[in-house]
Amino acid sequence: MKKITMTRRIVQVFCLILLVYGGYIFKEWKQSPETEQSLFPALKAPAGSISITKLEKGSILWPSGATPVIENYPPSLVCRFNPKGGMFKACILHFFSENLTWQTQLKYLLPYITLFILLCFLLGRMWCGWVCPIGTTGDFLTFLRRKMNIPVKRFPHNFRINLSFTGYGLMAIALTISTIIGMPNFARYQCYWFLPYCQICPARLICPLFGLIRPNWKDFSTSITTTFTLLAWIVLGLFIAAFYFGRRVWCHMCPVGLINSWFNKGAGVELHKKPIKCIKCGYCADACPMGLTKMYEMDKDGIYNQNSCIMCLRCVEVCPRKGCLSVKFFGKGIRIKDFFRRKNAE
Amino acid sequence: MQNKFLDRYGRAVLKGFTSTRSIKSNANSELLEYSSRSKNSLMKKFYQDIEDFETGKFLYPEKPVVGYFCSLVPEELILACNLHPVRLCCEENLWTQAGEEIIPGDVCPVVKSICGKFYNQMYDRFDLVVVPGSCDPKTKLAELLSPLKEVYFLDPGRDCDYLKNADIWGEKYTKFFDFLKERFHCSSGRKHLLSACKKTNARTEIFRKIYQFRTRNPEAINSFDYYIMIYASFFMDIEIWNNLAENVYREALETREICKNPKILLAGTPVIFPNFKIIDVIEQAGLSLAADIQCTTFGRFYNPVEIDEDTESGIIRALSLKDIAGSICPCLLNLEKLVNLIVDAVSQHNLDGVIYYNLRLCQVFDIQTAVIRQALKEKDIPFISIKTDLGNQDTGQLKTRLEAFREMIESRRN
Repeated sequence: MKKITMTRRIVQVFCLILLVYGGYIFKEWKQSPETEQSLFPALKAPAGSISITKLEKGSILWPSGATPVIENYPPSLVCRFNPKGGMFKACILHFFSENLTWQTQLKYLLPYITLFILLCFLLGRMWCGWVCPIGTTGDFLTFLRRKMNIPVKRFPHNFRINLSFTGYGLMAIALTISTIIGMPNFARYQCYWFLPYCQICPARLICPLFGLIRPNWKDFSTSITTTFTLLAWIVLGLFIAAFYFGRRVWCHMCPVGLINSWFNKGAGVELHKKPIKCIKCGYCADACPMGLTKMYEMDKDGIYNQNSCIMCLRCVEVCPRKGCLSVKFFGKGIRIKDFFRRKNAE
Repeated sequence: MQNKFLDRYGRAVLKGFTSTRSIKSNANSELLEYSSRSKNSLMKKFYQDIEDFETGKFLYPEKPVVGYFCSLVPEELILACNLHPVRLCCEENLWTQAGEEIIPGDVCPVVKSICGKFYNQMYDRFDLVVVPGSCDPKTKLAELLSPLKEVYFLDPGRDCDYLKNADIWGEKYTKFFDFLKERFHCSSGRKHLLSACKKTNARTEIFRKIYQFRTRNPEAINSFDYYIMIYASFFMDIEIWNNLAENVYREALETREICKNPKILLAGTPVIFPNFKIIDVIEQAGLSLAADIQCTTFGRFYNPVEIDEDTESGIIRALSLKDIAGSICPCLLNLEKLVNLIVDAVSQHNLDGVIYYNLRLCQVFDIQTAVIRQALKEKDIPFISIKTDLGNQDTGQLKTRLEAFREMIESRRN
């Protein structure tokens, strides 16, 4: 295995452990009285609204996790439904859904949003490729498939583009429902429609498993919960299939990833291409887990950060020509490739 | 009654031809001459092996031997089936004359000499010959050789655009692999492919070192030694070659000679032993061959196999990308790629000029000349194109032209 991929795997596993179990380590620190005042105070549900911790036991959303150590929303799919040692609060979509329902004032949200945007601009979608615990889980499924010698399924370009529209559609529906149930007239629906995307998100079913906690995987009490249960199963099936047969096909429609992707083009991590060095061998396009081909097609000097790129840097790694593809951080070469390359190889 | 024109399966019989001339190769004397110029003591083994190969004494490993032409045939697939791959490209004038009896006329001399060698029973040890459909003469060669040997025709197509063709290449290579497995009764799979790729990647690594080293210091491993090493890799066992080449490189590292001659890049038709006329002339004219872009050297060795999907079909796909998409064969669509490569190599390694070598009657190389000349003129890089055949008649004239080229480069320097 090459060095960049190896580093990436180590970072992924480290982040998975940190985000999922990190809370156990930092709990002591949190409980000491001096640090009780955290940087951002927790957002509280207003009186009369449903909060996830107030839900009745047995509800489909019943959390298996306790209060998180750090009340924040990093740009990766850290989940509300992690085991008890979850490090961060939740993902950004959870944040928007929850606060739209609670109708929190903007001034309370601003610090969270500012930090989120800052993190996004710093690393772009590198959060998806290097940090996201669900992405790591999916990569493990891909690894299993490879070991079982099952060929990868390569999806056509249009299909992948349409997947992102599906993701935007789901996001729009989820946010609309969250806004509607926040209105006083519709408040009685909150117990069913609270956090609508979370109810079908595969992370809700997968993340509790890390703490060996049984996720609340079925609820047939009412017609609405039955629908959500079935939808969640279908989405989980699609998730597993997408990661198992394709590579990172799922990431085309993950709403959190889509929000990150808006910042990808101006992100601090930049992918450069020098076409004069390119021999059009297609290695970069073939290795891209998202199935992107722009790096291969372009024949002008420049930065080619694409919205769908998860910055796994696999293209930079496999490129056989030194200096053709390179990674830069705010215009400064980090020369990852030279740093890691086998000595004297080129 | 059996029709005498048909065989027992009802197919038309291709009888082939018999050559009447007895050929005695003068490779030995040439080898002696080249090895006397070698500065590297470890090169002897390569020269010895080539002498054995040319005289038919070479000891192949105890396994079936598969001959192939071109860089478009995936060596790794042959290796994975536990076979011994031998690249049979040949540019010897004597064998060309022998081949003349079979295919007279204005035909590619490489194909003529291959035919000459085959019809003089030089390659009796071979169990299978793989011919790619890279250019027109090679395509017809498959038919000319079929009366003598079992021939597998592998046609990768002429378009090396990844997006359009990657699936097709994968299919074609998979069919070839399946054929090999069935023909030689082996059940090779993912593991064998991985180990074969590991071997060729090790070779790529060593080649890159040598290539990179020669761009800085072309005299430490002179161009004869370099091309002899390349030719030895055609038939030697890959691991033995890796070891020897690594040792030669280590020894060369210790020499500290500074090259004062203008450094040039050689592009165009591959230089294959014993047709070293062009290198000889370049050396006599006071130029140093520091880099090259040819299908036997750069095109074959420079790209490693990058295995992303380590499933069987994934590895085969990676091989097809390395061999076809990354190919610099002029028969495929890649002129822009080639011009970029040349310009980049010249600027990266501070080379002084480009020689475009063109074997007479190879039209695809000839057609490219004008475009490359124009592109390099725009970039202000000295360029000369040389068109010659396998004979030795025009050596003097070539030398004069290259001397003039050197003087032109030197006048530009001052």
